[in-house]
Amino acid sequence: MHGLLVMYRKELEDHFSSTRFILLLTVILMVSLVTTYMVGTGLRKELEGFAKPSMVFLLLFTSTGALFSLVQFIAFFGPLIGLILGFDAISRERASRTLSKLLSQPI
Amino acid sequence: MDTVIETHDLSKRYGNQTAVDRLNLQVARGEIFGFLGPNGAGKTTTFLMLLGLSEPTAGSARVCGFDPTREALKVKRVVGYLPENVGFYDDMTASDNLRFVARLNGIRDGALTGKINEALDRVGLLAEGRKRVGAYSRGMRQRLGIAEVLMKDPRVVFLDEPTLGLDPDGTQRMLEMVRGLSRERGITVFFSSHQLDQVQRISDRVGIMLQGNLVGIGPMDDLAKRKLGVDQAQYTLEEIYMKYFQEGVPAA
Repeated sequence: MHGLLVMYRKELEDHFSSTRFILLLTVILMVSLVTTYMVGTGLRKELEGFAKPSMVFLLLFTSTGALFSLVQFIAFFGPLIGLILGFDAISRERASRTLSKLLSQPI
Repeated sequence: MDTVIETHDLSKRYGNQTAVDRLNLQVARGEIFGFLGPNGAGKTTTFLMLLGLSEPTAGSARVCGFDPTREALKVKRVVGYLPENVGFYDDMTASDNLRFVARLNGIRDGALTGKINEALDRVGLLAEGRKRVGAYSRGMRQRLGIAEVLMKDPRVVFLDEPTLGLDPDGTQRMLEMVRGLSRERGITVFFSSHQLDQVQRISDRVGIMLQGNLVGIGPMDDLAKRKLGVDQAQYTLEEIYMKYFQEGVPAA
């Protein structure tokens, strides 16, 4: 268990300094901005005609128009990205020929 | 004899090809055992089976009293393995590489720096410890591999071709280092190499593999007597090896 923690820490350190991670983060940030904008415009449309809108936040759940949800987006792509990153981590160990070394450690 | 490595009819087959065929050998504590044979003779496969990284098709093995197939973790805790052509994390420094391996072995942070420096000093890399491994030469990498193996204070080390691709001077230093380890710390060394004259100088016993069969095993003097009919110091290991090689695998 301890060994796994050590590996986890190293992988995380590697990721935080890699361009790929920053790129991925930017993409997700952009998607979240886009969804926020879309939801905003959608809500505004719903609110047309109301003189004094109240409980606008609840409209997020009750609005009839299909709102693009970031949570759903992540739920779909998150596991996929996880798989890809996992495969990538293993193939990177293989390419740098450290895989057999790692496997010979008591983890 | 205090046996550290022991195999009984250890075999490995890939499809219908036999990589290792009924291997029986014993290595005693503190011994330097030279494992010889042409490429593809099954040496690496044997290493992998002894480490529990590959499951034997038949037969059994014991390393320090543990069964590598069932108790792989216990074996890995006491055995240091240097794979052929070992790699490192090139963008990390040598000491960071060692630190990572030490942590994987559960060594506490308090004792870590001292241990790393000691291991680096041992292989003559103390001055270059802060350099990125990517800038290391072949010989330095190989020595760093030894340092890495030492981090876990192994009782047994498996070295798969530790001298591969080293220049004559580097080979010499590598083997001196290996001998020092065995003599000073009582570590059992099980290594394969193609530098026969060097193997002859440092090994206590040798085993010769041909096409998965262990055709000869014992102290070199014995092998020389048996194969060449000469007494001590009148042979080279190369002569013995070539004799075995030409005779091939005896029909079972």
